[in-house]
Amino acid sequence: MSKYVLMRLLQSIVTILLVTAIVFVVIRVIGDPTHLMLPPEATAADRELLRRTMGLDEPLVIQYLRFLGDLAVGDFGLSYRFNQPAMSVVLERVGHTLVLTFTALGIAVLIGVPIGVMSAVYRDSWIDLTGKLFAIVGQSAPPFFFGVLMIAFFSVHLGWLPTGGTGGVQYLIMPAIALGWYSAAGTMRLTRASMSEVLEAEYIKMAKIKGLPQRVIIYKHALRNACLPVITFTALQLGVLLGGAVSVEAVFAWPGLGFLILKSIEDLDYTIVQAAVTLIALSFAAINLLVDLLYAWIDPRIRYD
Amino acid sequence: MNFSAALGLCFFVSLAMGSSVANAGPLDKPARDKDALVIATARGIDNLDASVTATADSQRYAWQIYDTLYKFDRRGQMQPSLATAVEIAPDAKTYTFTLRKGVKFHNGDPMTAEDVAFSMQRMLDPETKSTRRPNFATVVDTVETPAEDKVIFKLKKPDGAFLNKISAFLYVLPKKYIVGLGSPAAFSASPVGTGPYRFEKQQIGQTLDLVRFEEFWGEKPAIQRLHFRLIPEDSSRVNALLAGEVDLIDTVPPRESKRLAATKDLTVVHAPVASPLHIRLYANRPELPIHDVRVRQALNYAINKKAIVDSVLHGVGEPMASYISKYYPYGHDATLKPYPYDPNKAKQLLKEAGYPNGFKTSLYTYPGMPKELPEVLAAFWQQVGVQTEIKPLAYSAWSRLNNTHQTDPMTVMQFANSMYDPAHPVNGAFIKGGTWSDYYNPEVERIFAETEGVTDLEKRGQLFKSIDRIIHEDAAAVFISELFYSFGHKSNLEWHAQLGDGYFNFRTARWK
Repeated sequence: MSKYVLMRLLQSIVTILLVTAIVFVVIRVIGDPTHLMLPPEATAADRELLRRTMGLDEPLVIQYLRFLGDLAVGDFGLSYRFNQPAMSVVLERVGHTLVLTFTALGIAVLIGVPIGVMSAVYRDSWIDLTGKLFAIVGQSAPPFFFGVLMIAFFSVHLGWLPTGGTGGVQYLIMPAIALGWYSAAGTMRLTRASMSEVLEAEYIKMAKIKGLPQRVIIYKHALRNACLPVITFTALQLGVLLGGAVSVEAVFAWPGLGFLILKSIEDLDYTIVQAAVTLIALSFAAINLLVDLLYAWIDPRIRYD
Repeated sequence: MNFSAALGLCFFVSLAMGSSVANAGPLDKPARDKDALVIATARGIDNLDASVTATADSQRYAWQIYDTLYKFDRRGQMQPSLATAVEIAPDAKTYTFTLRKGVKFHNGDPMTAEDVAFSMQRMLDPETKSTRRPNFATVVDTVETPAEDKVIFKLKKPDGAFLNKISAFLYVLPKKYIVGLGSPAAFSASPVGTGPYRFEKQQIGQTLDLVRFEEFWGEKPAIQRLHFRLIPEDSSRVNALLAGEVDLIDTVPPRESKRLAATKDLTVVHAPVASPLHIRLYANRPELPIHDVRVRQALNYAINKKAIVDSVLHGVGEPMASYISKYYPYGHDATLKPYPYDPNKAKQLLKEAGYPNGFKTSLYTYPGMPKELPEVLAAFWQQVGVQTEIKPLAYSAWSRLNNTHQTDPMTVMQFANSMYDPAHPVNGAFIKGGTWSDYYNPEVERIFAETEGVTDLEKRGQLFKSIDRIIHEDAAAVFISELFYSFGHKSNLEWHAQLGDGYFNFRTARWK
């Protein structure tokens, strides 16, 4: 097991290096920030001077090695746009992004799984139909759209909730629902499909014949077996939610990481993009590792030695 | 159940849509109280070091926190500010400022000539990475401080627009404080100026809180606190105003401005930014049809500017005849009339130029421009036989090409100017070597060179008027419209938007 963990760690480090290298090169290919920073009075010499001050005149390889050297001591450089250390700007946003993402994920699981189970157990009943409607609406309308509708209704019309920004729980409700509904719909459908399959299995029939109560059959025997794909899906949803959060962050003026990265790419703020991507690559490597270990824990058949 | 759920959703949607009419927000009251103003902006405030960051960033906060030696009044006339007087040598190479006495920085330090000289030198130092450096690096020779209240700028060459540049870009910063800080980043994190508001706190790029500076040298603002917050999404920003959560929003989307204006207790203001919306033409490329003045005129005659303003800009615009905005204090030739919509004349001109069947061309555009604009232009030109392929690019890609003369043969563009003197746009767009200039006319070059030594504003105005006329007659660009910034605010807020540039000024804002 420890050998396996070590191997996976090495893999993760290689992945992170690759990801940072790709982003490092791609963002530099997209454009040159000095074009966005200088006024039309600037001559080619002015531009060259600024590039030199910013260290952008050196060959890419040298720039990348320098970046890795600074990375080793935790220095990601100054953001051009904010004139502040890039990582501290990124870290300021991470908390907000995590709160929003995990609340949305919580909504997805807490709503998606029970409805999925109920739909599978009472297939083709009105419960199932309602569940399906919930899923179709959730999956066909983008989070962005829900956000705008909710603001118009709950903030402008009723005045119950703030239109956006951060603060107490009241600021979190609408963005989390807007973001979580889409994933809840997916979780529901997957749980339903997975449960339906498991409920047909021989051992479930056996459990029924044994006369076990339905509650025990569903939650102890069926759901435990049906939840493996749901766990994988939920872990993947974390990525989807982080990506989908961009539009929700924009609509609710939520100070998250997604919108920051989007703007930083637009403004060619290299250092912010690099800091954020490195952080995200690190987190995903960690999450993947955790999920693999979680598999081993839940399904005793999976062994890594 | 199924059906009623759907019905419920419809009800929800219709209510949401109906909310534009039936609105519950208390719009006759400030969002917080009469001591505070809550402002929502479409772009965040990024870097609080106003002499480093570009206008697109600093225009929202700079005039609240900082002062300049001279300042622009609401229409761009220069008035004494931290300086009480300026003496300009006849050769336009020496500018001597007398400083106001008793001015204090937010940290309590007195403002002296040393600070002024330091502010200029700091901007010129490449390590500061100031975006303003190119405005001064080629001009400023030395800065002398013969007395505590005297600063002399000696220039390498005459610059008739130097006072404008000083008024627009030289924010006076505290030398002792900055030297003590050590790093430029530390100043951005905790800026100090002499302006009527001092920095309180910031959520980087997201919110900014300013508090009135009680020892401000000038007239103190009526409102004690300014709170800026970023709301990037158009509809959310409008909704925040409708919900009464914010008092003022910028960048009202054109399609929403009539609805907001019709809402009780709300006011919509369209402030000119004196930025010509135009098509940049690569006129000096002999291989292109637009090298011929008749073709350039034809492109101007072929479009209905009034219709473009009414439809694409939702009525928020004014057709332009030439390049120098009428919202500058001088330089605009008011006798010029925009090219009328005359497709027959356009066809005839094209025929004379040797293009009886038109020609094929292309037009670059970027996301900051109304999406419909290039489409409408292409449709108008199609009517006279000019086939236009539209090439949309991301802003960063477009600006790189546009700054290196690669958006040929044509691109949609605007040209903002924060120093109120036409030298900036004329130099940038029509003088040989200008970053955005692909036009060469010896007569324009000659007159422009003459303006460089002229400090008398009336005379400068006359010279620029003649340039304005030449550019119009020569159809050096396709002139479309004046651009406006649209603001929405609660009607009981008394606030006057700056005219002719994009800077926000809340010094005199007050609640009724």
